[in-house]
Amino acid sequence: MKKTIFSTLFVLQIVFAFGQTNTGFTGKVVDSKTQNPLQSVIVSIQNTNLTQLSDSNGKFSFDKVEVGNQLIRIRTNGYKDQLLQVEITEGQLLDLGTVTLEEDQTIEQQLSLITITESDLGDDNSGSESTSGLLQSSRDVFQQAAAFNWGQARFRIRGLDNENATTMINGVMMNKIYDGRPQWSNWGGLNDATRNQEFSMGTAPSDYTFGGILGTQEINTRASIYRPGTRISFSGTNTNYNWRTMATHASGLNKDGWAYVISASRRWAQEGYFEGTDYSANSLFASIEKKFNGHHSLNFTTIYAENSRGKSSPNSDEVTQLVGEKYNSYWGYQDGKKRNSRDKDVEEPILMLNHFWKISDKTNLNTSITHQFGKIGNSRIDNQGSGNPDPTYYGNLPSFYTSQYNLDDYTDFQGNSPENITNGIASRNNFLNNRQIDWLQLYEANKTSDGHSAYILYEDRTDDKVWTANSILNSQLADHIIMNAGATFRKLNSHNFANLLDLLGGQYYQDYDNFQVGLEQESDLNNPQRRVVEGNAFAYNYNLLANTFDAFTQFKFNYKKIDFYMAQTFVRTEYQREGLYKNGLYPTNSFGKGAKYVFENFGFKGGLTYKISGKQYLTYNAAYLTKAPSLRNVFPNARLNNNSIEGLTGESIASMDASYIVRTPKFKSRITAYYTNIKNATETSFFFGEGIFDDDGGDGGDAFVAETTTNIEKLNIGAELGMEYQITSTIKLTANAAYGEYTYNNNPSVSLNNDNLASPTNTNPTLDFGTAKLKGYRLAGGPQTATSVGIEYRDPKFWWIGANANYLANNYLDVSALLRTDNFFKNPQDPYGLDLPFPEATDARAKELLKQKRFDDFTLINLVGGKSWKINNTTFGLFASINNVFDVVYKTGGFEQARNANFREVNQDISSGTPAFAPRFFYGYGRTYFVNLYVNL
Amino acid sequence: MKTNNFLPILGCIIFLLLTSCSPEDDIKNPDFNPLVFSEDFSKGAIDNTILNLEGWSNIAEVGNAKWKTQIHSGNPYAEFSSYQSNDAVNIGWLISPAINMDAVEGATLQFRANQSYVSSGANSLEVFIATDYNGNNLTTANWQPITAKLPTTSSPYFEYVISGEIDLSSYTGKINIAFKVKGSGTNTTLDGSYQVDDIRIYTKQ
Repeated sequence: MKKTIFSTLFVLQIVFAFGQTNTGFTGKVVDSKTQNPLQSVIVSIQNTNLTQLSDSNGKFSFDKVEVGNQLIRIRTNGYKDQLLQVEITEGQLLDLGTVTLEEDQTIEQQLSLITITESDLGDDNSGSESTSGLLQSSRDVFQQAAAFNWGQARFRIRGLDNENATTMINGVMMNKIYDGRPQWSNWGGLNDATRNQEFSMGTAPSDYTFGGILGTQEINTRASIYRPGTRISFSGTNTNYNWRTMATHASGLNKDGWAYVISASRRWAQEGYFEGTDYSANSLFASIEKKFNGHHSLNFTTIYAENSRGKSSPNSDEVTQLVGEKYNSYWGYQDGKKRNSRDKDVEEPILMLNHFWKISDKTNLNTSITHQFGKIGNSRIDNQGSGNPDPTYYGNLPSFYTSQYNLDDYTDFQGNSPENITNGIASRNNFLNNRQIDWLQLYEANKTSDGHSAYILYEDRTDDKVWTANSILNSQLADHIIMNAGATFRKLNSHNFANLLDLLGGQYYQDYDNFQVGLEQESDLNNPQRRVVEGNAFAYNYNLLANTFDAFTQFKFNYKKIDFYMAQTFVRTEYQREGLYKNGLYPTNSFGKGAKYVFENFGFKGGLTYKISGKQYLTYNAAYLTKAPSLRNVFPNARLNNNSIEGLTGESIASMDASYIVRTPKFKSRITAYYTNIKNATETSFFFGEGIFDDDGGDGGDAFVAETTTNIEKLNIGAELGMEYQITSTIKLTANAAYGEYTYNNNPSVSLNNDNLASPTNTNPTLDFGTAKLKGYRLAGGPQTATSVGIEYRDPKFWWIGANANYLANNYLDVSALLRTDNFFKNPQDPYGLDLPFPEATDARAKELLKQKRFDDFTLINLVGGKSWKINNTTFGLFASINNVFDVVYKTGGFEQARNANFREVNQDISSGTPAFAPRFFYGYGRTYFVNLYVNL
Repeated sequence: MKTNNFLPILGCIIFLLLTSCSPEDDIKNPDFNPLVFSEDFSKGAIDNTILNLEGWSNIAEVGNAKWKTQIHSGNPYAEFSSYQSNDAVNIGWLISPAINMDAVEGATLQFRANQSYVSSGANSLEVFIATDYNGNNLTTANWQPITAKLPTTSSPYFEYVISGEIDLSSYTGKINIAFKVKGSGTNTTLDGSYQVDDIRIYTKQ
């Protein structure tokens, strides 16, 4: 094989041209379908620094190439890579002829993928998505499997949250300051317009930023780089939406130096896969570039994406057994239509001006100013002192009765008493007949004499205004040295408030906290006894202000046998809360600006690639960085006061990975082992807890609390394997595996905030619960083990079909930290004030009760296929996929309810066999399809 | 294809992963010291019935009145009352099951008691410990009185008085704790009642 010239199907002809004096090769790159020349394709000789871009005729030519066997890599965005093996002979210019590049089908596949990453996990009001959508169009075979095959099961690469991935548009960081995560909806539906993407995996270097430890995704919207043409597509699916239309036109650069791209899309569903999940998304995109001369170019990008969708509820096993895994408690019929009470609305347009300055052949400086504004709203029903309208409220379910204990005797199970059995059956029937929100009943309840609404629909609103200015410098300092440097300034004003959406038939709503008394009820003492109507802010109202400045430098050294790099970053972060209400519970520390919190952080990383040969590589990356806490965690009770967590510092993160990579024309593989250690992480959550505090006036220690867990150490170790083998020119096999162990590696500290204890003399009613015994528990958030095998047949007549089988395992329930503090054993009714344990508590039973639940493992089979036709100059294409062919029902995640916070309550609840506060789960999609038809004009 | 060292590396990684120890082995329960002994008279409690708890002795030494289970506001407790017993003298013993004090260090006893309608010191509550009680014969055991804070005639009715910490660290082997009430069903100055609850023996930290 070495002595012959390797040719793939797509190398149509190879001609030796004699009589040349140069030693090298030449060729021309064209699109496999249209046969049009492809410009700016990257052609490089492996294991050398020799790289060229194809010219406007698709041509490239190398001379002064070393004699012998050489591997040539040809790649460009949107097309599959080509690897060609050639024999360079002294004094000959080898003509490779026409090299055809085939369009990368993963781009079509990506359309179907987006539908998954946009769903969110959890009842999280932060607005951003907690799933990892990163690296979805990466060329790495493992990452493709992770995105396309495992993404539906919420697999996360290296078990890392996407706050560890940096998402950028034109070098501008799009991760939110609030929680560090990107808001995918901000450019959702604009797949064609956001198609130009560059990725870096893990801590490997990016030209644009220092980046997070999961990787970076850089979307490039510069108008001149889009391939000219028009593309229209229409899709049908049964995931979170049903229909999508999309049209995109790119002009290409005209002779006056202008280029533009416009795109529009709409996605909608009356009801997505889960009951009552409506969907409506409209997206518009425009990018216009003026190239003034060879040095200066300006580009203006506007992205407007509005997205409104109904959420679906996590459900306990009890509920799922009664009404199925598609059940959603958030909706109800109103006037014959399904109305969802928990809508998420996102509308945050982006305006971006980029200046591209080619200072010299070797140096570029790109500068941008970006403004993003708009709103995120998450709606829900407020029931002020009235019955909870949630049909799955624990008092409405059979388990409320069948988990009963004798109030006089905590050992006396009463769930099987004739009365409770009868009540349980009645409750079951009542639930089955009233399984949804009864909007009509809410309207009836609001028909009061004075028009006071007992129930309202409101939204938790976040209106952000962000200004970002940044500059990124790229310079080839010497033959073997490239420098990247950048600086970014971001200024955020985030206005947060409860916004009254619908009085549900009433005339007004009284803005007060019905759990408090007297002045403590007031949400705003400056404006007490307030009646509010639709469109009014109420309950809470504050601004979060943040300024961040970051800078990075990076040096990359490329030599024949070894490449290496090092990078460093500095980030300064300033946070402040400004209360717009003077809260009745916190009169002295809720109104006006609070203290300013400043964090200064550093990061260092480096790595190297050792080229064993042109086909085999070893890479090693290591990084250490500290990170400011997210805005969300700095102000854990931001709705009510300016308090921060005492002694809060940021996370410190250490990450290492080592890979062995094989890249031959037929066989591609990567094995990676990784280690990630995140120290000093913080998590905050809100819930209603029973038996948490000392019994105060017979309430059993129950209270609505904010839980803060600090000093969390997470350890993620594991290995990744990706293999791709081209058996014949038409058949390809892939095999992928991920094995991880993602665990808590210490016992973090837990504290609770109890607003009921707040007073002018107790402005920070925080109770220290000591440490939670979390060490050794698995981190939640997707399967920690995943394997995949796939086969793909690609017919020369432009159709292809593929199938893959995936086994996903080791997904764990999110454990409650509070349950695992020493408080678990403390009897709140201990008369001696000694925190003596419950008499019935034993270590053995506690171990059973606290054992982390592992979800069932499952297998998913997926089918994909596509075909394209060329008629005159128009390409028509079809892409279709069926995911989870066998309609396997599986849980993707879930969490323990911390409502039962001590041994006795958990023991009783679980011992009853029908726990009323059982964990709640999210389910993956059953069998779904996606069909996309497109036309390229 | 130079992939000959691919499989050995893959093998090594799989070996390392399979032989690594499971993180679940590290998991520990939250800290706590189980109680050495505890009784809150809840188990099987039925209001206003003769107290009948497994292991406990409920003995009428003189007269017929016995200790009863009572429940007030969801809280069961033990009560002895001579009221309307028609006995001239009532002496009632409530004796705990045998408690093993071996391997217990720093053992401490606490309980709480209250009275109602007790107007004379002769209508008394006393607390004893024996190491030689055989489980049914009251008189053969050597009952040692315990000094504890107990309700007095001036204590408000039904208001619990906490015994205070009673040091039992000198005991080994098996012990029984006894509550003894003296009263009269015919003398109205001696027919008050005593209520006892929340007996705890724990390791003092």
